[in-house]
Amino acid sequence: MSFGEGTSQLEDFTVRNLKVTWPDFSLSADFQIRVGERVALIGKSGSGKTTLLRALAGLEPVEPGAEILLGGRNLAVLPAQKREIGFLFQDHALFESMNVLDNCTFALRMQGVARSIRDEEGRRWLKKVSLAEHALSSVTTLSGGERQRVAFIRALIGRPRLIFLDEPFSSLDLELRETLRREFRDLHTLWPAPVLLVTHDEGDILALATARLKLRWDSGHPDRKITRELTTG
Amino acid sequence: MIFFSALWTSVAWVLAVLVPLIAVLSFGFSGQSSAEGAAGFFDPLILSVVKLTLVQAASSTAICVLMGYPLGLFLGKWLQFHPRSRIPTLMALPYGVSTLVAAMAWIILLGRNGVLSGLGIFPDWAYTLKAAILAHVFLNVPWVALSVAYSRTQVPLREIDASITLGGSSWQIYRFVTWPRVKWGLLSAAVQVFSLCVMSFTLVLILGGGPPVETLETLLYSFIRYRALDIQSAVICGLWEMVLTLAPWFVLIVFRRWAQHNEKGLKWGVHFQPISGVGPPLYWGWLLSGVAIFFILPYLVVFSAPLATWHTLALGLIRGDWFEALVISIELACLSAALSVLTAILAVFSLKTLPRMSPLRRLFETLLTLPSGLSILVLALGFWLAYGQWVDPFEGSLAAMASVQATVFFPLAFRILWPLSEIGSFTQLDAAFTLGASRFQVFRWVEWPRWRGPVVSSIAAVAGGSLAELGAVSFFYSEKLIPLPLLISRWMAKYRFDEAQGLAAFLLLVSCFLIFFAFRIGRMSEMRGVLR
Repeated sequence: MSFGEGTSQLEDFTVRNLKVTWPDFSLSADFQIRVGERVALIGKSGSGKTTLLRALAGLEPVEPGAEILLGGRNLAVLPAQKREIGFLFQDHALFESMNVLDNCTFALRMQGVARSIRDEEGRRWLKKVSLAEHALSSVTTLSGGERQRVAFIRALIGRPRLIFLDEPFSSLDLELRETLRREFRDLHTLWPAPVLLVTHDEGDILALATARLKLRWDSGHPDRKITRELTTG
Repeated sequence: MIFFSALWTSVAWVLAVLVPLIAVLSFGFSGQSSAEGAAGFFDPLILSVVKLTLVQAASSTAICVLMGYPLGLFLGKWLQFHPRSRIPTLMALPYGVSTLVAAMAWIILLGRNGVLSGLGIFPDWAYTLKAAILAHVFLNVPWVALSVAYSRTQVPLREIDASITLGGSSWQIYRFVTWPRVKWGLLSAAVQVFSLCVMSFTLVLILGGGPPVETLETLLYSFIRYRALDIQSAVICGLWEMVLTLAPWFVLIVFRRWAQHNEKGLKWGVHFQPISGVGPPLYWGWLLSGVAIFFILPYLVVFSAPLATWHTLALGLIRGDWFEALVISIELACLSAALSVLTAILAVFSLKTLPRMSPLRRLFETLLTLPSGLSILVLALGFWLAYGQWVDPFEGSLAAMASVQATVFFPLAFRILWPLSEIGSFTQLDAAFTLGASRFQVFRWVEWPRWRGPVVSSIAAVAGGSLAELGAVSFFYSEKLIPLPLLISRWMAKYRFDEAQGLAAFLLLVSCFLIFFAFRIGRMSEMRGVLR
């Protein structure tokens, strides 16, 4: 099955009654992202945007009673491994012990896909982003933009039901950002899973987001609340 | 897992460090009045030996610092521009040289018919304090240089550029930019070298030639093995030695916070990024390689044994002359490495659960590295006093040798592995989880590749150290339990010098290979572990 096939399986993403509570921190969220939407989560530094992504991905505990719904399934009761989320981390989090190809195909390996098939799939993706000749190189030899592309492929190759991007272009120069935004938009057209994007960059929001979520927080006050603010597209 | 790790680490530390130390202390202060105790402690013989120990250690350290510091500055600057240079590996090789091999090499060089004596260089130095100091200098200058070099690589070039644009002279740049970054590396190395020289056993024993060149370590040994058994005096030597070795060690702890602050970039897995710009001229590389080789050269003289010796040794191996010693040494190295690396892994697991900057974590880290400030003989004496009913030095005990060696080499393994707990690949773990990896798969594909290098490095480093170690071996040997280093020293004493030389060459090759292996796998961080 090539990338882009099977999009009918994609479902809307709904968060209800989500609460993350630490001693000096509390965050609550209720929102929905439909298939094909790319929603930017905006808010002050330290307001908890990344924490929300991590909580939704199952990497931070949430209060009982939360509903993280993907269609009819409640992801809140599933471990992080079973949530089928393509998470693009801020620092890429590439596996430095593996080469480029193995990084790209890690999700397929976890799904038990045979090596020959996953290598073929990985090389096809790498060709798309002009990194085919780097397939067997160490990821430590890549430039910032190349690392970003590998991280994109790794997050998307397993056809995730949800895509989370945590400040994906923050470390790149302007020209590269433009290119990667365009590439991501094209990929997302092929695989329109709901996207939640954390960014400070107005350029990212204008180029990518179809809607915004605002994380409201008064500095010094422990409570944060998320509201859907504006729909632009 | 965490509970088991913490339990194992605590029990191991109590049994291997605390109980033997308490045994030495309590034996030293029990069964006599305070006046008698003081008289023993300040006995003129002991005090003269304390003085000689101090003179020997201080002189060796001063010369090492004077030579190693500028060398380290040059090497550090070179490494900033050539981060993948092999010079540090070359410079680390003396660590793989057994002190027994070093002693033998210097005897060959400085003895009456020696190569250097023949050339009129250092005549009549053999069996004097000067010979012991010379040997210490050759072994430790590269350590000082490496420690300083790694601190020097942390001086950001942009700070130097900024100083130049602000009108700073070379001296001002050194004073305000370089020195603040390298001073803790230098102090740390100096303290470590001082402690090592105080604890030096084999070099002083063989090169000093016995009295009048007697230090606390050799005197302690002679009270147990050579003279009429005098445990009380041996314990007093041990107490004095603890004072001399632990005092600088505590200085090191006090300053460690600053040192860590200054060297925080030097972690496992963090390699220096090549810096663009004009670096030192290429001939620096040749010069530095030459200097590194210069510090290894004296030991190569052990390969100069007559050709017939190799034949005799080969026949001896078949006959079983030294086969048994070889097997015992391998068993001992495997046991020591397994015990010490396993405990180090579990210690890292249990400590990494504590908050990073918490005082409790610092305290445990400090306690765990305490053995690096203890001499092997003092620890062995403590083992004997504490577990005497099970372990008798005169009966011989492989388990006691391995336990003492594992305890002494534990800080080395711990320091090689410890940075793994500090640099996080937490986002990598998270990434793997979100990509569907199970806990086992996360360990297999993300964690283990990080651990593999340091674990193999620490095993190689401890095994290399164990193969070359003579202190614990001399304390707990018996006629049926003679490892290779002890066999070599016995053959020397029995005038089978050529064969001893051949065996020393063999030991040098094996231990250098292990150290080279450990150092190349782990690159620079292990030596920092050693130097701390």
